[in-house]
Amino acid sequence: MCGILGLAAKQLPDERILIAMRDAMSHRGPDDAGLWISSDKKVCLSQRRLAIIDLSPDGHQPMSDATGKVHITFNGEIYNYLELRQELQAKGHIFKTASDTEVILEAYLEWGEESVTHLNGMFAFALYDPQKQQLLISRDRAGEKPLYYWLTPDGLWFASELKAFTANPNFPRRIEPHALDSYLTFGYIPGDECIFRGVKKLPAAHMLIYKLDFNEINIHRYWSLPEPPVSVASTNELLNQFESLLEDSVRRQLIADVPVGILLSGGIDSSLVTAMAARVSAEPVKTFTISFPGHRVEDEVGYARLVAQYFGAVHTELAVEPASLDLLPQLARQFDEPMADSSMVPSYLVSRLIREHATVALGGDGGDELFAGYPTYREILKDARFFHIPSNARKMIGWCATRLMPVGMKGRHHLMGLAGDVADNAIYYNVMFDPHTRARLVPALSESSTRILKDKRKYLNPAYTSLQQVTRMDFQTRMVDDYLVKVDRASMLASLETRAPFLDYRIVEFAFGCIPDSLRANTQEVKILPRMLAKKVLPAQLDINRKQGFSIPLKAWLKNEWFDYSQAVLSEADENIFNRREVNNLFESLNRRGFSNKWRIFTILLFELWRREYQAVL
Amino acid sequence: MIIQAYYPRLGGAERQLASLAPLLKNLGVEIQIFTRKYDRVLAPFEIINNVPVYRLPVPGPKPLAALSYSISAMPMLAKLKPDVIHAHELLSPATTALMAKWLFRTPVVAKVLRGGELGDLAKLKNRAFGGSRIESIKKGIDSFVVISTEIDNELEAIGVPKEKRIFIPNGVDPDRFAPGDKSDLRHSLNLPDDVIVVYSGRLDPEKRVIHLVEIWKEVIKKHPAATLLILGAGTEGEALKQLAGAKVRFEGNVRDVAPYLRAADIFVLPSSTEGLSNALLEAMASGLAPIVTSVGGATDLIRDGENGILIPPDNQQAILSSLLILLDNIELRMRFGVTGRKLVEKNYSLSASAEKLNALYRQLWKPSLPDK
Repeated sequence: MCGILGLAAKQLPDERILIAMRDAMSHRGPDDAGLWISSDKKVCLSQRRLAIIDLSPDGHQPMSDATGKVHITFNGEIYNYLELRQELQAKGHIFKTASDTEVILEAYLEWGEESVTHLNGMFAFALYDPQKQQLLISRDRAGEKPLYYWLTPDGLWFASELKAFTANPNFPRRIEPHALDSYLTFGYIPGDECIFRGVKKLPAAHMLIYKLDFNEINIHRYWSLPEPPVSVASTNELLNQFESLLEDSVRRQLIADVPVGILLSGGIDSSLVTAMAARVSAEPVKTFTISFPGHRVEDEVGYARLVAQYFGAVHTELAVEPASLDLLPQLARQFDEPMADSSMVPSYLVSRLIREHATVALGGDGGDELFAGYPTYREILKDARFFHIPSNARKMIGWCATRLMPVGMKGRHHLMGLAGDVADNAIYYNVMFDPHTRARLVPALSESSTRILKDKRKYLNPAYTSLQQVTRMDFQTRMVDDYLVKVDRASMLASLETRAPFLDYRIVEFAFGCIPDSLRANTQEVKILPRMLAKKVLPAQLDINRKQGFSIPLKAWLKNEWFDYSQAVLSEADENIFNRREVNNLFESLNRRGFSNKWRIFTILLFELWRREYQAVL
Repeated sequence: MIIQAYYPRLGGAERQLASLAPLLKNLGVEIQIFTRKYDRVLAPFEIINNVPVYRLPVPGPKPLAALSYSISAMPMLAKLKPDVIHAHELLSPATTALMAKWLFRTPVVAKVLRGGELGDLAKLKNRAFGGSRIESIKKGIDSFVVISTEIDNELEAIGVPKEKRIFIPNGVDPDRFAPGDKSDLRHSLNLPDDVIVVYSGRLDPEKRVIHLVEIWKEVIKKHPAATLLILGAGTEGEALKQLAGAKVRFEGNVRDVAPYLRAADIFVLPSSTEGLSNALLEAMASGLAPIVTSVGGATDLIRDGENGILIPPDNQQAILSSLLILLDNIELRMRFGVTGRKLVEKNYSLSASAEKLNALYRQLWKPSLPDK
């Protein structure tokens, strides 16, 4: 795992600036650093390296192919690199290292731009082809590895983290109003948007081609989710296929030249990964979990322990104290863009713990999007009954809920979502601030954020079932720009590489292209197929109906240990952005029954901490 | 409509006509069907699904039978005075239609059922007076209904001009043949709830079902849960049953193929010759993943690797390896199912075929002017 940075321009800046920018990402790669500048001094590729495969100096990056034709800086892992290497060798390619990086170079020389479709893995890389005078930048299908780019009149910058850009004294730290609006609406910044003006994210499964001669970029999607199945294979067959795909993915992802562990929460996904890992490894697997002593709901270490024992794993537990408050500003900085996901805290803590024992950790990420595991899916399916109510009546109720119910009152968003169609309803399940509240909270943003909710409809294809629509939307938005960012940045801060066996694209295609709704979720059950597999391979005592993630007792912490701190931060919140009275109202509601504003408070808190860290201005 | 056989004996061509007839009626086309009384117990006249069916006697050996059929059709055609005659097959139905044209000047449409070495034209060449029959067909028939590129090329080769070759592929009813939940269906059809490979069609030698039955023993070595389901009957039926090993089910002629197709996963058509296989269209509409020999209309319909697998005819190894690929890869099967069904809905729906035929009839129809 690594951090990458690069630039193609008519004239490169001082090398010291390049090095400072690169080293702003040292946590992503503490083992090695590299900087490559083309002979014509137009292109710079650089990298901070965390050595995982081929630990020898041969794996040093940026790397050039054996003949020196093309050059690459690469962050990630290619899980099918051994097969690709063999295939390319059979075609006459010569390899000088044992790394997966070189496989990408040779694959490009063989198949050109199309080579990216041959890669199975998590990656973001930039490949420079001097002959074509072009830079090819590509990001993996699910969006596990990040990539920001910044197109200026002088050239194109790219980096794994925004911190690299902000380390450049010339980088303008202006907040993009549209992105702020998106953030307040969803708690993360989706798609290609970025919180800083002028910067964009390369979306998952996309490729960017930059022509040096024209200072022009061309972005296209190289992979899409398969269409939902029209026919249905037998449950038996699907279950067997799922098991063998997961086993194969875990087997590939266990490959590393450094110690590997598993982030075991005790939920189905990470337990299944543990089961498969135990099946394919000769050694006992190492599992890790965290506990929240004194918080009954969040503290379910017993389940993780049960699974670990069943598979003979070497298990480690870490107790988290609420004292981790001082972490918040550090995490706000680490996350590059404001992000309102409080599980960033335990994600980081568990990463730090694992890093003492392992360099790579496998997790259960993606399982809920692929196999419809979130309880909201059950609710969305149940909501079908409300759409028999005439739309005018629903609109009226939504109008009243918006204006008469105070923000955070339970059920308010539900009524607002039901005022629209099935798509609006699905979108509203994950809204932080609705357009009405957002307008009062941040009067400085003149445009209505209704538009932002409308934008999200592009992920919903009305020809599909509502379950297909909403899982596809979540896979392409919330998972990429919230959950995977959280996993990447939290683990990278601890210099730990995380891997997600569920996001092997063959499993993604299987989940969206083969599994019928009847084996995903209905109004009673969610995640039906993985639970069938769980019944088959996990200990019988494990309660597989629970939903378990890495979550913290947010409300309790906000009311107690974090109270003074968060109030202090928010009382100094930028008045050019937030309406103070609205913020205070939210805080007061923490003690009111029937209200849930913890997420909204956390959203503003994290934004404010982020703004301070980066000294950003609207 | 002149066709070799009709209810109760139903091959692809007969079923296609039977499904089209009610749709054409809805479009205002009055239909009468002339067919052979191939079995003594069949009634000489019957109304089937609101369509009158005349069965003409076919006594004695083949050439005589054909002649008697054609001659006995004439007085009836004189009485019915059709506006257009549509012959299904270039052999005796077309000859009969041409005889009628010669006598009554009725415009004639002929559908070529099959192409290739065992196709209509190839058969005709080998018959008595083959050459002159082809010539008269070329001259006498007003329009040819063409169902595949293969057949189109053959007609072009004998010199039929482009404007006489009308591309109207067979159609299938995408509502009747539609994918759906398999589990309950399998239970009610008494089929195992695991992967099912299906063949549907006549069990005649040119269909090469024997190739499929023979390699099935190899398939179940790797996929012991898989079942081969064979729908249809024919001259080879008994021999195939003798030959078949474990996990092969013969269901014979079923009343309704649709639920069986819906219950299956993979469709195999190993034929050595085909026109445009209705069974293939039905399987694609049902969302199955097809493995098909590259003969006849299959090459128009299947884009290899996109919506099915095309294999060379008479190559058992190819059937085996394609089956193993699809049995191992559910994702590929599902993708074929989605794209296949889309194609059929768009280009091969029954209603589209009926409309095209209706337009063709109306174009050829010369209303007799009232006497002044």
